[in-house]
Amino acid sequence: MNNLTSGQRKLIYMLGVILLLSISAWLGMPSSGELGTGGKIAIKRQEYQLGEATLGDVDPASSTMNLVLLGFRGIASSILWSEAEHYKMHKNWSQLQQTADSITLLQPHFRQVWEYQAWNLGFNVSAECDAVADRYYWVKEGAQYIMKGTRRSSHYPELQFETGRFFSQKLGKADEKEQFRDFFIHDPEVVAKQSKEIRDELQQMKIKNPGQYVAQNQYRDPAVNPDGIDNYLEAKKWYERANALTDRGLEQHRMDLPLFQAYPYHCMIDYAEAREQDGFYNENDTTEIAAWDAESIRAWKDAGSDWFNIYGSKVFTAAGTADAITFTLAGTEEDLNKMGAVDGQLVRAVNPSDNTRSKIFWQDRYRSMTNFNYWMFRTGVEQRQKLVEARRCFHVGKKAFRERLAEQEALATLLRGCQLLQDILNEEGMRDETTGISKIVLNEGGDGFIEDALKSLLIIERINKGLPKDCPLLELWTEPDLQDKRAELREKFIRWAGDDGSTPSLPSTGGTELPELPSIP
Amino acid sequence: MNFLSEITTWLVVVLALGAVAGLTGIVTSWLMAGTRGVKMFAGVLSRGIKDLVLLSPRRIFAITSLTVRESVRRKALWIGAVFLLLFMFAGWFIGDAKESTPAKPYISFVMTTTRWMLLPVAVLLSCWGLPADIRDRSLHTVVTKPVRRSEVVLGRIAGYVAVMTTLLLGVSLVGFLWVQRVVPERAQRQLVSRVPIGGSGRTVKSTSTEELEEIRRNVGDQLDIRQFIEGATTERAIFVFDEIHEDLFPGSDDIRLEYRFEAFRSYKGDLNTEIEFAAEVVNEKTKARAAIGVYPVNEFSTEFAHVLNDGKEENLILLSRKLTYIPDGADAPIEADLFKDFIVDGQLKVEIACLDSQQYLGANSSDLFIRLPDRPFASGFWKSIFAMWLALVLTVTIGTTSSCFLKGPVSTLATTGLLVLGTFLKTGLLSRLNDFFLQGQTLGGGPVEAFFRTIWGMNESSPMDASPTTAAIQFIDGVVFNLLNVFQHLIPSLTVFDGTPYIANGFDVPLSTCILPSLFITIGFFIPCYIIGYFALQLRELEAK
Repeated sequence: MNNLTSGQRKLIYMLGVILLLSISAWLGMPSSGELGTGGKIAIKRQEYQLGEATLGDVDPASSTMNLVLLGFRGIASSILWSEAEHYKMHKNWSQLQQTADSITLLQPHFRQVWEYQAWNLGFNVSAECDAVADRYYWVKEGAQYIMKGTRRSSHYPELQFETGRFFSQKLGKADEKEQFRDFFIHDPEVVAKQSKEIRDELQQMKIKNPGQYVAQNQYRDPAVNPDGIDNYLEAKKWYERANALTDRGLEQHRMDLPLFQAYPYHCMIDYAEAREQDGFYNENDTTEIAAWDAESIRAWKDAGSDWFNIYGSKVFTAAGTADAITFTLAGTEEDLNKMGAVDGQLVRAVNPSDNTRSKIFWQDRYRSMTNFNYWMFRTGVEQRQKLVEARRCFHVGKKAFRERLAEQEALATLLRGCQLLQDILNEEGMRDETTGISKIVLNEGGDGFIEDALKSLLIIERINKGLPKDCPLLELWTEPDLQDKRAELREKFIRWAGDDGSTPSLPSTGGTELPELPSIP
Repeated sequence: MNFLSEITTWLVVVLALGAVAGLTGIVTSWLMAGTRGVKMFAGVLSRGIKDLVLLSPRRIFAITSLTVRESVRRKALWIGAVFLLLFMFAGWFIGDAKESTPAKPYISFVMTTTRWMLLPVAVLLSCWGLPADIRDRSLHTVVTKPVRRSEVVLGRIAGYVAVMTTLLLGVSLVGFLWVQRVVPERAQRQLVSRVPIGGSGRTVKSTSTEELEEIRRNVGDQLDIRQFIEGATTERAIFVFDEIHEDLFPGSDDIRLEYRFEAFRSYKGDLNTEIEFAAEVVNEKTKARAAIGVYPVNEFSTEFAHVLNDGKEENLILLSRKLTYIPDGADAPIEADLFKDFIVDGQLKVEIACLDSQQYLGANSSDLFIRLPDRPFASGFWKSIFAMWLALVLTVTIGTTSSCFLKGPVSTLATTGLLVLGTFLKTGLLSRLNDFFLQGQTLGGGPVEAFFRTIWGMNESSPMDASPTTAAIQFIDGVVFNLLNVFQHLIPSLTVFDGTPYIANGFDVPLSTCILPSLFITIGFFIPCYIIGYFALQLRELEAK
């Protein structure tokens, strides 16, 4: 090397530079944006979705922070995390929120941060406030936080799923669900910004024209409810987005896929049920009631149709099987045969040892896991006019007892509701063949309209000083599986209506005759 | 804060330090040169006293201006540009600005950024100036002039303080304008300096013998901040305000009380109605009681900016001067004057009762206060900036002093260490010392016991065996705690200088708990630092790099 002349050395350096530049260009050439363009690294980045832009929206503040902190963002986010805990302990919610925002600026693709801090705001902070409107504000903050997470890290099905849970379970199942569902359409902050006249008008409308009140969706908060729809329908959109990601092959780590993918369709069921419990109609306006009933039946039909036709047609793969057995939940044996003809998998086992390799075996198993048959049955039952009417009787009777103290009217209405439900339960095919218990009681426990019926029985018991001997639905009063639910509802009822000193009664020992009742309007 | 006892403690510490330094000087000089050494020591001391007292403002000013020019040449003012840049993009880092966002995060951002951008500059400027001069021999041109070393120290400190003051003024002015501009309209009402008169509060229950029994009830909070009283019982939160006179409320018919109680529901109850409480004013002597009103708890209402209608103000109780009450034995209510009939010897007593059965109301002493007429936000803001300026003066003083006898990096480490100790660790240290000296033990023990527990995998609440080893450990820890108790006086309590919690929560910065203590701490450190700095520079061999 030492014998080389200066010119030769320069030439070698030049060749070295060209070689290194070529390698560098081959590896690091930027992509034009289209798939497969750019250098090796750009192609791989696209292939494995590692680029910042492929993971979600690029936030300049986040990128700046990460650059400025060099390699210290881990330390910085740990300090911020500890600060967030400090603020939470000292109940300094606004600072907690700001710190949670800062953590995600540093680590925008750390899924658990979005989930944990959104839960903190939407569930923990919300529960600390006494005013329901304030609780709702923090639920919205939590929801918006995780919604931001879905934009910044758009490749996690869990984040879309959790957002759906905020709208469905937090808003729809909390103790404050009645208020939360209302606030989702009539946001307290948006309403408070209106003039006093509009606020008074809305208040009057809620009492006198509930059907019209529920349509006033211009008072929603567009940040969480852009389309002014029910919380369950908004939740459904988010669950569907989560499903779309899993359909693209992205993994979720929550639960078995058929259960995960069932959520949008459960939202339809929850929506149909919730709107019946809300009962926003004028009780004296038969046209409005008829329209409400028709809409309720339509909601149940849609729920049933989505459950069977869309969810039931999805092709799932049995988890943990070496043969990757595929099936649909709603498919008949004929449908499965067609699938088997294409993929060559066994449809029905001939020998018991082949059971776990057959499509029928896994279809049955997953039907049981997802309660597929029950929900199909349930959505079918709920579409009956009789049941819709029974539910309306429970709602109207409870309201008459609570708001107008019209005891006899409440008693008549509730007894009618109970009778309608009893008639349905007595119909053929409504009971389990071996136990004789209603299929709905077996599957639902004390939820759904069974809960409404139990509440109605409690009111009947209070008004009538004991349940009448021939009171319909007495089987719910004696069913051992409902014992805990009855005790829970009784405790809540006493807190709500006060204790009249009477003890729980059973008609067989102390019941009275069914009283003379006024006619049902 | 008891100023007299604090000043006495300061005097004791300074005199003790002086005595230790003097004794060390005498012994060292005697050992090195016998009686001649002692005479030399006395000479240095008498010259020192002269140098420390006989100062020329002209020469100090000259060194100050030299220091300022040197700092500008070192581009210290560039930090202002960085700050401006940060504020241009501050919105990015604060998160999604919404109209409901309260003022608190914005104010905290400005104050925290200002503090943590300027303190390191103060440390670096003050710690590296003198060592750099000594290294470059530029200090020789100064000390060969007729200038006292004390004037060098003072001039340096004054110069750095001037630079930091300029920076602080510029930066805080930008911050002040920025806050006014970015705080959402709905939260603008939180840009205020409320002036509270706090009282003493306690939670009690009246017993059958009409005696009051203290209530200590926690409803599951990690921090025992509030005690909770049960609704619809004889439990009360009692607040007593002293030195309440009419002249505090000129031209006002109402006294404004502000509350911030917490609610705890043992069951959900009526969700549409908030937990409510009743307030009464009580004359302790005549036992007369007048109802003030019933109010919703309005919990955490300042944590986001609510839409307030019809000119309502949140969490305010208006206590009218004209009250009506029914005296004992009477049937009809009579009119009374608050100041004449209910405030006894300047003492106002207010009782709070939770009205909802089986629900709870949490209160502590600061949860109810008398709100005097508000001052503008600028009042609290600039007081807070003044406290921050004092923190910068203190930092510059400590940094300059340490640089008189330490090299730049070591001086920086020492000053930073002291700042970190004073900001983050002193409160914890004092709490530990308090536990040790008042209760005789601390959770997890002292340093040796903590080390022992770590090695043996014992958690901090496991009891130690009664053995000679434990006795030895506890003896050593006792010595350490006593030493720490002495040396904690050398760590400045920098949390006192932080006015952010006041202004971020909409309060004026109080003189008694922020401004005056900060001022005294600064002066308290400045005097010994000046003396130490002078002697260090006087005795230092400037030829040594």
